[in-house]
Amino acid sequence: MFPLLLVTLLSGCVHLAPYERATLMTRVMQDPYDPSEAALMAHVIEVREAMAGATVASGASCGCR
Amino acid sequence: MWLPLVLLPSAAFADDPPVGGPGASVAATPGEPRAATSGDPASVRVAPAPAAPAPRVTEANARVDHFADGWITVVAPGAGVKFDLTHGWTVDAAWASDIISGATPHITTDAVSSATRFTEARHGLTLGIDRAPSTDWSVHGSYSGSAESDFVSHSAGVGMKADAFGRMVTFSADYHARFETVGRADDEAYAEPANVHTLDLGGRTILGRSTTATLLATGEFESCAEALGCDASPYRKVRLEDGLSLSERHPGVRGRVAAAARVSQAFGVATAMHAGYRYYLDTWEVTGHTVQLSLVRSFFDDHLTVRANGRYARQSAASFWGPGYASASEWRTGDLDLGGLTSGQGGLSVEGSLYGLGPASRASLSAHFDRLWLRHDVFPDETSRDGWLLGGGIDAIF
Repeated sequence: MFPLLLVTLLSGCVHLAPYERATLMTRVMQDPYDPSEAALMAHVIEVREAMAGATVASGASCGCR
Repeated sequence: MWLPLVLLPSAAFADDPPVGGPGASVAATPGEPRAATSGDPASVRVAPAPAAPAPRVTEANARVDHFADGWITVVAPGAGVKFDLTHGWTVDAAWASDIISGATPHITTDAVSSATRFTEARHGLTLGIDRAPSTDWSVHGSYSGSAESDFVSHSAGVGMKADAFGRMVTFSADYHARFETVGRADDEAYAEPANVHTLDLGGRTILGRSTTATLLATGEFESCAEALGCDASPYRKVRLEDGLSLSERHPGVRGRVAAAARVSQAFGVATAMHAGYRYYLDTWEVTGHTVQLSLVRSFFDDHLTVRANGRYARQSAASFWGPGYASASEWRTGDLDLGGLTSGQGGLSVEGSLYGLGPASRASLSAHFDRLWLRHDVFPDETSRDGWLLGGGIDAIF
């Protein structure tokens, strides 16, 4: 179900030439902006909650729980 | 894991075209002059070979962070480096440690009954390798290992990333297998194994000149030793109504799914907003909703960047969670994090960057400061787990 949704939603209705993507290439559009900081935050939060997954950061597990 | 990491690039180089390219009349090895002929065997001239691209460091970073709440204090140093091995191969390595000290209170029905004081260190190592046969797709593999006095984890993963639809969409898929051993610091013979299999799927698409959208999904299956169960602590106990206490015991399997959608919107070239929502569900009947928002603004031609971010999450309790147990039920837990709770986070990050500094095309110094809140449904006054996270680091791109 999810792959179907993924392809449907992401196949895109517009097409941009490379020169039209300048804004998308700026650093402020990077998500996450700082991957190591995002991984740290995900680690801290996952230790304090039961929820996990579907984040833009991942890392090694720990026995923190 | 070091052996295949070293050998894989060498094996792939054997498929690359010979130095000199098609038409080179005399085979040459890298670094040697090659001969070119012009029909007359006597007129052989020796031309210097173009310099073969050499492996080089493309990125290096180091950081240290500090976390503290009412229970624990953690100092977490880390460092990473990334190499371009040429021919589309890159490798990376990262190290991180947590030096943890504090006390874990054992909260039962109506009181903080006791606290286990401890000081320990966790050391983790991550190795990765990436191969991009073309600019449209790449494959990668990774290994992560983590060890502390009573817990060992090994994780291996493979994945791929591909652009499609005229590079308007990027798909990614990753699979990880993780093997963990839970021990006890006071009992070397104690060992409870757990295996975790995780599949991550993602897709990011361009919606316009200033907008992208991302869909993410994770499915995870965890199987653990029956004695303790998944994600249980050998130290935590639950108190029964008759005053006795028992070790917690969780189900031996756990399935988890999460799906998220994120949108990134630029306002000009110096400001952007990132917003996301995640839904979570697992076989222990924990459901959760998370929303995130981040605003990024750069100043002085990207020499200074300021980010503000916030997060709100709400989760329901696991089906077997309870503030206390009347009798020795099959499943029982003393883990407050499996109960219903509301979680919040807000923070600010600042980064200063210099461009063309020595060999680095960009060198950045960053710092962040975050405040975290946690409110348990059953213990709303237990505010000691509100915490602070602050830290910073240096990052260089070459």
